[in-house]
Amino acid sequence: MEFRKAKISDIPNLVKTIVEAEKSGTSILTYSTIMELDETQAHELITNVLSIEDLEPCELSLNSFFVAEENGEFAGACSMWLEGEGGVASAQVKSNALMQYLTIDVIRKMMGVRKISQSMQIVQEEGTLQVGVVFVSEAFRGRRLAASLINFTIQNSKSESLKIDKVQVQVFSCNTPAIKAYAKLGFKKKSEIRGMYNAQNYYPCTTKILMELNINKK
Amino acid sequence: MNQSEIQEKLFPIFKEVFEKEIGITPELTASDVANWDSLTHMVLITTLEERFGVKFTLRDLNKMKNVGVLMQIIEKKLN
Repeated sequence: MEFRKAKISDIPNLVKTIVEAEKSGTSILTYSTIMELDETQAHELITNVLSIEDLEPCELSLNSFFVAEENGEFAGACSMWLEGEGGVASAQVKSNALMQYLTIDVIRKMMGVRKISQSMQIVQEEGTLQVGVVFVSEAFRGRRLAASLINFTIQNSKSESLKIDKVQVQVFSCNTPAIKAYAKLGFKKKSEIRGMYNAQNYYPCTTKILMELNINKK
Repeated sequence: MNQSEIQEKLFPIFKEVFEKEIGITPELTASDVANWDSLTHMVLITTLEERFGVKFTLRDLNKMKNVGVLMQIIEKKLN
C-alpha cells in the first residue's frame, strides 16, 4: 500500500471520498439538502472547488488530501489541514470557494436554513490540525487502512509544521464506526453539540462530536 | 470613497445581514460575531458586492482576515 499527496487526476475519487464521508453511513448529503442540489449537481460543485489551483487550506482544497493506493488502484483518501494557516478560517475559505460556483438565488435561499446550520456548527480551533474527511473503498475495508492513512497524514503534517500539537475531528454521533476508529487511535471526546430538532432533515444526525488527539505526548 | 465612508456604509449592511447592530472596527473578524457562519458569510459577501458595485475575486476573499482588509480591498476596487 502506498500513501501520497493527492493530484488532479485523483479528483473523481476525492469527490466520492467527500460525498461518502459527508453522508456518514446515511443517505443524507448536506451539500444537497442545504443548497437544494441533486447529487449530480453536488458532485459537479465539489469537483469545481477541488480543481481550484492553490486554494488556501480547507476541507475542499486538493492540497489537503492524501491518497492510499495499491498497484495503482485507489484504496482510500483523507484530508487534513492546519487550521487558519492562510490567515483566514478554513470555513471561510470553503464558503469563498463554493460561492464561485453558486448563483445568488441559491445563496439567498440558503439563508432560510442558516439557523439550523448555525446550530450544528463547531468552530475549528486555530493552529490545530483538522481532519476533514476519511474514506476507504469497499474492496479495501477490514485492513485498518483508515487508521494507517490517518497516522501517515498526521506524521506528514507534523514534519511540515513542528508546532502542531493537537489534532481535531468532528464526527456525527450516528457514525459509530468512525468514533470507534478515532478512539482506537487515541482521540478523546472533547465536546458535543446538539443541533436544532429539524437539523435532522439536513444532516446525517443532529449531534456532532468533537474529538481531539494530543500528539505531543507521544 | 475613503475608509471612513466605507466603514459608515458597512454598518447598515452588517445590521441587515446579521440581524443586529455590529460595532465595526478594522480588527473585527468572523469569529468575533456569533452568527458569522459559512452561509451568512456568503450572503454578506454577495450583499457587499451588490451595494458597493464591486466584484471580489477568490484571491481577494481569501485575504479578508478581518474587516480592515475588507475595507482596504473595497477602497482599492472603487478608486
